Amino acid sequence: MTQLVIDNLTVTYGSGTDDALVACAGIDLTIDEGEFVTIIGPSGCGKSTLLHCMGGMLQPSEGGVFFGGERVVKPNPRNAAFVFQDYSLFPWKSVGENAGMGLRFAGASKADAAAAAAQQLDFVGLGDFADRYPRELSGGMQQRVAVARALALEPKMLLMDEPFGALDEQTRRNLGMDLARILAEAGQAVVMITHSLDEAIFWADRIIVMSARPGRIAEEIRVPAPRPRDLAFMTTQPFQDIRVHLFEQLEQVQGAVAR
Amino acid sequence: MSAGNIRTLTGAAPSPAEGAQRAKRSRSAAAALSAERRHAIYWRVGVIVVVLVVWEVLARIGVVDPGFASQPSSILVSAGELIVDPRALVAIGETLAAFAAAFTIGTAIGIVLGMAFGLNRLLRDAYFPIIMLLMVVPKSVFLPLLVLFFGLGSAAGVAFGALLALVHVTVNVVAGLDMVEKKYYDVGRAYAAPSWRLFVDVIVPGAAPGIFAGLWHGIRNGFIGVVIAQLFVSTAGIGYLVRLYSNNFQIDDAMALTFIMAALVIVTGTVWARLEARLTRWRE
Repeated sequence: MTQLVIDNLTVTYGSGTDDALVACAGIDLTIDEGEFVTIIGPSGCGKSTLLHCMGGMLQPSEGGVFFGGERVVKPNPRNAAFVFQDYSLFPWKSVGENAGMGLRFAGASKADAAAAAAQQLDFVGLGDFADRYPRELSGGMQQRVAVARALALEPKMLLMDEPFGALDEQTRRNLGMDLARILAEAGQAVVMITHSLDEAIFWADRIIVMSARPGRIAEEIRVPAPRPRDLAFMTTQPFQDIRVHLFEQLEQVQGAVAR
Repeated sequence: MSAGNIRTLTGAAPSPAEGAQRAKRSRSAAAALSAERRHAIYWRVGVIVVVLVVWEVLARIGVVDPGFASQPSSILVSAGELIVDPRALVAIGETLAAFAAAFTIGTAIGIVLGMAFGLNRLLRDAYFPIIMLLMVVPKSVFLPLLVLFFGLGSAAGVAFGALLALVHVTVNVVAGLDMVEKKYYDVGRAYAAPSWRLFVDVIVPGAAPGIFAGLWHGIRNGFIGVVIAQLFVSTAGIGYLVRLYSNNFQIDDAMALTFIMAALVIVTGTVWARLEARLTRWRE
């Protein structure tokens, strides 16, 4: 069933005619319940802008975003919860408090938030770290906490802005495999921005390729394989075919900028 | 069994052992640091002892005149007498009371102003320049005015100390609020945090380094203000006594009182540093 509808969305930064900058233009997109969608495209193509609109962090200049039929005018983490690239954990809160922070902001009592946080930390494999501070954790572990913080709200959708962007290759792959399983189990719809071809394909039910500024949807690609997938999927022919196609597509949209 | 342990240590999944290792690493780093600090303390104490000995020797062989420059041994004797002298004790009490009042008033107003300027663009643009101006103006020019207003008693000292504290606290609190990174506000917004929760859980702890620096400057400047006012205008407190002793050429007493005052400040500073370290454990 359709959960999120983006209808003819355009975002323009700046108001004058000279300095106005169209970040994304005329975007139509729907996300189904439980669907995993990755967005890939050249830098500055408005991917983040689009994601921020989906989460109500940013209001479109034209068009609209509708979640479950209702127009999104401000962030509602019970509908769509954010996971940021730089984790954005509060360094002054323990890991447990951080994981429960979303619930605390939503008005939950300290005890309720702590209980839910503990459960989610277990779920992401960090059950023993609740009393630590973020600085004591590696980047990959911090990102797990950020995911736990989002999941604790039991959102219908996760919005992930390059969640592995700051991690090294090895951590990225391990965390990716783990999270793929976790998120498949949790059952949320996920929209994830990524710069990595492999990630874009490996995770997704559907890949959205965006063109350079002003960002438009250049192509949608379905990945016809059940999730969660294991690493072997990356060596299959369908994966390779999509990868080659995606590579050419990105060369094309990127090339348009270079020329 | 040991093989199993090794596996958990090198496994890709995060294990408690990994966290423990990280904690241990930072602990041993802290131990190395404290050894360095101990060395620094030896060197510092060493120099102070040398200075005191040289001072004493020069005074004894008559190179410097103890009548003007005093000497460590007689300062020590004076200090021993002063800390049981009711007059000095009253003066110390007056200074501490004036300091407490100046610090409380100046810091309270400074925190309110700092928060207002740090969180509201309009208030900041309108009024913060005034504070910045006060910051660079030598504030002692206000001392005569304050004496006209508050008289020669403790009140003028309290007002002057409060003024000094206020300016420094405000500037530091604003700086602290500026240090709260945008990404933390973004998390608050994305998770629909109500303003008061954002304030309690994000803004105040995020600005804590600046707020603590502000409080420290409040202590320091509150004390400086009170003592300067007492040294030059008031007829109360340690400052006044130091002035009195100096004018009467009781240099030993003046010096002893000065050192007692310094000791009070050092003790306050140490207690404060401990408290701050405890309250901002997360920073390490």
